[in-house]
Amino acid sequence: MTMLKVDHIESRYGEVVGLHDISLEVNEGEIVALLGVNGAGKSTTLKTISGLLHPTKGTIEYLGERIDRLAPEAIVRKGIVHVPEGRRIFPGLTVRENLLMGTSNRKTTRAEVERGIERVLEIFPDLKRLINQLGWSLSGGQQQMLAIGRGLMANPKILMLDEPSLGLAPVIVKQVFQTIREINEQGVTVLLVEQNASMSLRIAHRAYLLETGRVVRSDTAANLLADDAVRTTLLTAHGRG
Amino acid sequence: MQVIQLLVTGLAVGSIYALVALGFVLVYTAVNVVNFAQGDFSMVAAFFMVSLVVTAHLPYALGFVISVILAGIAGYLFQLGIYQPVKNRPRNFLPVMIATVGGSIFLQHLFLILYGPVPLQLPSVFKQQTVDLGGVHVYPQYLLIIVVTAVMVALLNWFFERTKLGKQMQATAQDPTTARLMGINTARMNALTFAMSTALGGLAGILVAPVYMVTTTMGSLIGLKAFAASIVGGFSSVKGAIIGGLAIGIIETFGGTYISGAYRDAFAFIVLVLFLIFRPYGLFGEKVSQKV
Amino acid sequence: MAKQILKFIPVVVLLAIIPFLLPGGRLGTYYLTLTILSVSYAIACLGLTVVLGYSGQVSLAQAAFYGLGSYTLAILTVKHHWPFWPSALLGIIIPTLFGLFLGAISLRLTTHYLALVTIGFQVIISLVLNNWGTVTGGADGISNIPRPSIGPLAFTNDRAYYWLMLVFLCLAVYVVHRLRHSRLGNALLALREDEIAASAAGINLFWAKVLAFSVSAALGGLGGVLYAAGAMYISPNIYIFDQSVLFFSMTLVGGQESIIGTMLGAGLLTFLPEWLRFLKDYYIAVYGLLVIIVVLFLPEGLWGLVQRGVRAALRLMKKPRPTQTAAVVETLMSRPASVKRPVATDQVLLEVKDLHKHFGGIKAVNGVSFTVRKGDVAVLIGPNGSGKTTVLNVLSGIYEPTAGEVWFNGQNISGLKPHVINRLGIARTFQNIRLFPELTALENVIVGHYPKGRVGLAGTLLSSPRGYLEERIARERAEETLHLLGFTRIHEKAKNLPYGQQRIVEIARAMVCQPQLLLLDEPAAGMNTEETKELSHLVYRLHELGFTILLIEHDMSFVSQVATQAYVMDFGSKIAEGSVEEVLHNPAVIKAYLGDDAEYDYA
Repeated sequence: MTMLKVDHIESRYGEVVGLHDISLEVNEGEIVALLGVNGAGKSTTLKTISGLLHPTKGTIEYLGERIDRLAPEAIVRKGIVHVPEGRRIFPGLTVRENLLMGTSNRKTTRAEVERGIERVLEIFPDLKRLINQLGWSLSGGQQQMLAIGRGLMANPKILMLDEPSLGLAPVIVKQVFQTIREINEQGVTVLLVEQNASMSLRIAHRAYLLETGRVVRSDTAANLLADDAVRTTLLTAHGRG
Repeated sequence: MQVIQLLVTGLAVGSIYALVALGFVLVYTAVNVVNFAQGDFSMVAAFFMVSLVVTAHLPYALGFVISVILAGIAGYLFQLGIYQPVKNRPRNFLPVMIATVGGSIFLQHLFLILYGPVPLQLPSVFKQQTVDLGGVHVYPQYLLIIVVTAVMVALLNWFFERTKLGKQMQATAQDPTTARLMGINTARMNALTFAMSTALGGLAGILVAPVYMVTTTMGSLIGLKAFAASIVGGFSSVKGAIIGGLAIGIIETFGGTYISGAYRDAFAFIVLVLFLIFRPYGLFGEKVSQKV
Repeated sequence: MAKQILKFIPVVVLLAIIPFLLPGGRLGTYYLTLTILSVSYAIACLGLTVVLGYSGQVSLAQAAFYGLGSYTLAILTVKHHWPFWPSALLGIIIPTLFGLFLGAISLRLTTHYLALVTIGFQVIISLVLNNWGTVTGGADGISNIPRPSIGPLAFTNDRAYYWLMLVFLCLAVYVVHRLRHSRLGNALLALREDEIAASAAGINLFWAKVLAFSVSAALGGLGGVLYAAGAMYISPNIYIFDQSVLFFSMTLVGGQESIIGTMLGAGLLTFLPEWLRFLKDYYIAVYGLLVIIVVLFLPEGLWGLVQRGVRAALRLMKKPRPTQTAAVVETLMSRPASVKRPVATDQVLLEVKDLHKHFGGIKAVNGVSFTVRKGDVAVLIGPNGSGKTTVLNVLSGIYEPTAGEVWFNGQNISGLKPHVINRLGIARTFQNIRLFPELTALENVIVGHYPKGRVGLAGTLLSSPRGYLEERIARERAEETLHLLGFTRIHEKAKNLPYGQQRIVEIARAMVCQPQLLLLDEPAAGMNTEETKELSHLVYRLHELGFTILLIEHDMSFVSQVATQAYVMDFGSKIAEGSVEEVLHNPAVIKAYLGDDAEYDYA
């Protein structure tokens, strides 16, 4: 079943066009990757879906309903959760409080919050000992785990992850990708934006290749992984933001 | 004995500054602007209180609560009319500052028109002039100020540390974009912050009114000194605002008695300048580099 | 320059004939008194034009400087029987000294901190004037202040005195106007527009602030001196905080950045109470509302509104001129390629040793070392978030390193201020373009030439030939540089330029002083394919001209066209170095970019 349908959208930052023409679909239960070099429009696509930007052309539908004019706080209430680039942990809140903030998209009981936190700590056991530490004191990898955990607290139907491997050491990156796969196996649909193409293609079902704000290719992950041309594009193509 | 008397006075005056300073800090940490009309909401609430209690003969406690709430509503309207229109200007510090200065002038003279230039008197809730605490005579109003402030601080602490709404307000202050992505209505949080800060200012105004007179300019000097107190405290922490406020109150009271009564109003600013020279980030402030 | 000042002549003539336009009798006398008052206000407000309008710093203490001027004159002439003119001179010098002090402590202060310090200063001065009875006369003030005379000319009657004031008003206008159009004025505007970019362009923020405050204080003092001699009686209730707010409002309502606007605002708000007298008590509330309305709807003040109207009318009258076609000139872009690129020498220009920069728990840079030789085009590449921009910010002095050292030309420059590093010969551009948005393209580049100038305030105000020469050189250099880059829209405000063009202006600003090392932070970010191609061409040509360049860039085709040496960073450390070809085939780099990791088991 198609959950999210992005149809020929254009997005701008002021007068600079970020996206020219993007169309994509995300089906229930999938991991879909958006790949491309820096500035190809991957993050802009996520920002447009989550309502931080409104498309200047085209439509976005979630379960058959237009969402492209809604505010971010309305979209996250529908279960589309955007974990932004650079982790964006609340620096002055503790790990527990950061997780609590993830439940801001709905009314919760105390017990529900506790269950949610427990579930996150099962996925990221490292966070357990940091639970009362302030966000700014965490390392990059810990912050990334917290950011994903915070996203999970929202009970996402679709989890959109923007560059979860950004600035992390390879060993941590592996853990992060493994966790994304686990989360998906628990039934969360994932839309993943990554520079790290190989890793993403290995966990994703399908992927879209973006270049200068356009989709230039879409295929199953396996096909893209086997294609040498994709590698070359990603390593040497023009990039602009 | 005089020392204890002065200490009580200093703590009471300092509590007033602390309450108003808390308002400055709340707004500053939330939206990174300084509301130069903050002090005037003390005046606004004090006048409401006079109307409700002296003119309309409402019970003291009821008038008290209504006045504080009205000050909060006034703050909400103030941010709607003055902060919202200029908040998206590039380098918005100057436009916001000027708009709030204009707002301060406007408020003072609006109340001048409404209530006239003659200072009004708000009676204290206590009948007796002084109470005897083991040989020390103090004004009961001072004790009330200290107690109410302490309760208020405890309440605020509970609100920000123990409630989800309080945490959401903090989250909004720290990273508004991400807060929105979490589903927090940041516009509502900011409006609430303004309302809380002016309600705190209003509370201070009502508490201090029986000690001074109620005039249209009573808020400006309180506001400026509270502003100084919040900077001494570091401008970004609740703890700093309270300690800064109490410190300024005590220094001013002792300085006014032992050094010079004529220059009582100068001490706050002298302390401020010394702090800015020797400890520019205040008692509890952190140096934050601007991100390029 | 001289021509621009001519526009003030009609204003001066108009002001000079005002006494003849006033009605006779007591009303006329009263209006003349108000006019005298408003001229002294205008002079004080011109000080705010400098500090607020030009340098963008908030000062709510102008009434204190005004008061210091008044009281210095009054105390010296009345109590110590000094002659008028030396007292008046001291009446300017003393506030200036206080202005220097305020400017100096404002070094570390910005925005609200600064505003509050000026308020505190204002409150303290008012208290002193009120309470130091033996010297200031306390609440009673000082009366019988004499009017001045020059030889046989005595300015005892109000009309004569008014004309004398006009002479001083002209002087103040000249000072402010001259300052605005000088190198120092450009520095003040740069400070207002973007402190970080100004500092990176070689402007010492400390001196710029001190300059703005002391000029402002001097003008405040002059206004106060003239007020005291005009009114012949002063008392402390004139010099209070509310008066500072009034000065502030006058400047804003008229137009904080315009000399004529400021004078208009001073006149308007002096006479407004008279005109609004029918409103009685409501007047001041109306005035508060007026300030709010102007701030909300007319950020350039009333004069800005008038100017916009005039410009629109002119445009209607004049037929639009055909837009200039780009002249066929030999720019850097069109010059045929040279056969040989300069070869890097062995001389090490920049050496980064084991650099660390941490923010909280994040190690943005974690032990990076590399060198740039004279003649290199070195590039720093690496995935997003690998710490490249942080390295550049440390090199240019915006961040202090947590550990490690940076050596430039054999000198340790770690931890130096940005303007010092600029003057040593390192200039930079920013990833998200930091031009001074309200300045024209040409003015932006002229600011970049600031470190080459030597003439200070005295030279500027005395119109020293050297000052004009420097200004002409800066202008010519800036024009040449923009020209060289093929840029033609030099009189357009930076904020109105398209993104790609802004980048060109930013590069021009960085290279106008011929720095020994040019740092470019993602120059191709946000550019389209065509612009990127042109830009790589441009960087190539800069190299040919002999610039040593260190750049950050993601665009690999860009990088492989221009770079002679590449360093690759990942998670805060250097993982490879060599030629671009070499590093792109380095397995560690491929892994960093693509995340290739064959041995990882995904089952």
